[in-house]
Amino acid sequence: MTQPSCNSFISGWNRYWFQPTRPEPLAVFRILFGIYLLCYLGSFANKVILVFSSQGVVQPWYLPEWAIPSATLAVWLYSCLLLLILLFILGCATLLLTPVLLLFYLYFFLLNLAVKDSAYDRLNLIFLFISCFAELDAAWSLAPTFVKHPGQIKLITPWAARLIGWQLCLLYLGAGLWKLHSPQWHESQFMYWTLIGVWASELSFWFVNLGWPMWFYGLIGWSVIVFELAAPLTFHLRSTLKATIVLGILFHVGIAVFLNIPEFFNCVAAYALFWPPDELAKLGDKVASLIVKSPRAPQ
Amino acid sequence: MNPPSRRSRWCLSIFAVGLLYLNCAVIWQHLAKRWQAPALPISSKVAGVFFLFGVFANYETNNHELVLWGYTETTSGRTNGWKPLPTEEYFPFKPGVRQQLLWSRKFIRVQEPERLWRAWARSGKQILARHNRTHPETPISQVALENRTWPRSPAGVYILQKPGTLETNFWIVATNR
Repeated sequence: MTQPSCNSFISGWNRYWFQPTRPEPLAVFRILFGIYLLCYLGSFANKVILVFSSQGVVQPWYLPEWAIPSATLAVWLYSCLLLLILLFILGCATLLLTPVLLLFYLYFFLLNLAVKDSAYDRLNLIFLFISCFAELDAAWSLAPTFVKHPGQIKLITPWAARLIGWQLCLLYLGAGLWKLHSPQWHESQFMYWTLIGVWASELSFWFVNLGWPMWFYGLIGWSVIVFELAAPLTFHLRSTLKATIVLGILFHVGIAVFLNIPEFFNCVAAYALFWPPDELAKLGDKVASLIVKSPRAPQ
Repeated sequence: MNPPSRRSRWCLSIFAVGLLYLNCAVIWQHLAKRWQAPALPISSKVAGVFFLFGVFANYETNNHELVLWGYTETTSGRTNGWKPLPTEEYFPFKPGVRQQLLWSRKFIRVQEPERLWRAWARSGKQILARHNRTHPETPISQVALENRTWPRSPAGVYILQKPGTLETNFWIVATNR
C-alpha cells in the first residue's frame, strides 16, 4: 500500500468511525433497547426467588457457590437491576451507569441464564458492552447538559452506533450463511416441521392447519435466507433501508407470534441506528412538541 | 463536542476491529468446516460467545421433552412410587425455554457430558430440597428425568405422545436414600 493510499484509508476510517454526528439514533437505541431489557428481564419479577436464589433451582455457569444469593439478597439485587434499566432508559449518567448495568446483567446471566444458551442473551451483553463506551445521553435524556439546553445539539462520535449496527449485520449474515449451507434449510419441509414443534404457538398450529402447499414453506425459508444475507447491504443503502426495516420488523414479529420468541426484538431496537439522524431528529421534535412545547435553538 | 484524541481513536479502532474479527472468525469457522478450509484463529470459549446464529439448525420431525419425576413412598400403583412432578413449578417459563434449562443446553452444545450430568445432578438436588420444603406432606427421596420423544403433528404438540409412538429414557439424577 502506498503512502497516499494509506493516508486516504486512515482518513476514510477516521471519517467513518469518528466524524461527529447527531446523537438522536443512539438515543433512540438507548430508549428502545432499555424498554426491551425492562420487558425481558422484568418478566422474571414473579419468579426471582425460584430462578435466581439458593432457595430455587439455579444452574450457574462459571459462578462459585458463594455467589448464589439468598432469597432476600436476590430480590434486592434484582430490584437494583430493574432500577438500573429504568435509569438507562432515562439516560442518567450513562457513561457510569451502563458498565454497572452490564455487570448486573452478566451476574444474572451467569447465575441461571447462560446454561440455556440463548443467543439473545449474549447479544444483549455485547450491545451493553459496546454501549459502555458510547455517549448515550446526548439527546432525549435526563443528562444535565441536555435538560438545561434541550434545543442545543451535542454532536457525538458515531463509533458505538456503527459498531452495534455492524454487530447486528454480522448476526444476520452469519445466520443467513449458516442456513444457506445447511441442506435441511433448503427443503420445504424444514419450516413446516419447525412451525409444529415445542416452540410453536397456537397461532402457528392454526396457520399450518390452513393447509398451505409445501412450496409455500420453502418460500418462507428462502425468504428468510435472502433477507439475512442481504441485510448487511440493504441496511446501509438509503434506497433500501426503510423496506429492510419493515421486513425486519415483520420477520421478528413472525418469530415472536409463531415461535413464541419475542426476545430477538433487541435486533429491532438497533434498527434505529441506521435511520438518517436528521429524520430521527425531526420525528423526535414532533413527538416532543406533542408532549412539551419548547422553542428549539437555531443551529 | 471534543473530538476523540488520537490515543482514544486507536483504542476504539482496535476494539472495533477485534469485535468484527471475532464475528467473522466464528462465521468462517462453520464455513471452513464444510469446505475443509483452514479456520481463523479464535479460542473456543470466545467463539461460543459470538456464535449467535445457529438457531433451529436441525431438521426435526420429532418433539423431545424432559419431564421430572419424584420418588415417594406414599404412591401406589403402576408407577412404583414414582410420581410426575409439575415441571413448570421448578422451571416457570414457556415450554421452549423450560426445555432449554432442563436440558442444560449449554453443556450439550459445548459437548461436555460430565458437566451436563453434574448440572442435572445439581438441579435434581435443588428440586428435591425445594419439593420437600414446599410439599412436606408428600416428601420425595429421589428425582429423575424422563426424556420423551414422539412424532410431531399439525394437530397439536402432544397428540402423538402416546404408547406406540412415544419413546422414553429414564435417568435418576438425585437421591437422598
